[in-house]
Amino acid sequence: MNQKTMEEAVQATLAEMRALGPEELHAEIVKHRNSDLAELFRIAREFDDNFMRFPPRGGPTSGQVKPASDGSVLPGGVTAEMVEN
Amino acid sequence: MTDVITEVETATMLTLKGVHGTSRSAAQEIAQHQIFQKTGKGRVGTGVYFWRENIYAKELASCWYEYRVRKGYFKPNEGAVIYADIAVNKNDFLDLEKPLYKDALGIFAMQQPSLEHLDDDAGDMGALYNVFIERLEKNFNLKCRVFQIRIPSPPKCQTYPTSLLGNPLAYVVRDETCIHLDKIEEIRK
Repeated sequence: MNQKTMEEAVQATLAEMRALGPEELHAEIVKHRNSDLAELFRIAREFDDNFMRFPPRGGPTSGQVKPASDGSVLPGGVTAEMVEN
Repeated sequence: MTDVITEVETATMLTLKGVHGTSRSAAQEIAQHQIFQKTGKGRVGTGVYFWRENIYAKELASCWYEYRVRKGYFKPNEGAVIYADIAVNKNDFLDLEKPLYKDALGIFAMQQPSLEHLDDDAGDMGALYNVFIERLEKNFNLKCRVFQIRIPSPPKCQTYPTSLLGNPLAYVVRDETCIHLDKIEEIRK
């Protein structure tokens, strides 16, 4: 497939995906969560061992975030302690 | 620091230089039999993953090896880095980082509000690329032997400046005959 045809194929595929309903697209994404690429993107989110995990969006209410010793919590649930680390 | 030519292009062929982190025993096996262990079975993204060769590639490959050690796949202090040339016909190469494709992906993202709910912790960004590649190949009856994509650097890889350079470029080689081993180096701390 030459580059021109490839470009058209990419555009057509994205158009097809655009036409999917949100539920259908989501279901397909979930099916591909066991793929290598999904794993590589997932791994990057793992701040394993001694690495502090950043809180999910929405702030410190999840219980994963402890305020720093001075009690300060930055926007987004990031504590001063986290920044220091 | 040495200058590395990371890409050679002729009228029909591309030769890319890539770096792959693994264990020394796996590297010896690869050198002996020229067979790489693919990452999974029956998956679209399945292939041999190489970091694009540049000043950070060895560090990225080492970090990947260290990550696999922490997960119990490899023994510690027995890492190796494989340098290889990846030769592919241009028509069998898909560059997912091409600005034109990224623009099209951007339009798609803007028009698909459900993408706001992607779960990063579940690797949904990678899963979305997988959906795209599977549909592309199925609809147009093609097989990309090699594709280029930016993937996040492995955990604890603090040397790589993601905020400056963006995620590092990787080659996913799905046809092992494209891989030509150059050299193997041991990872030393």
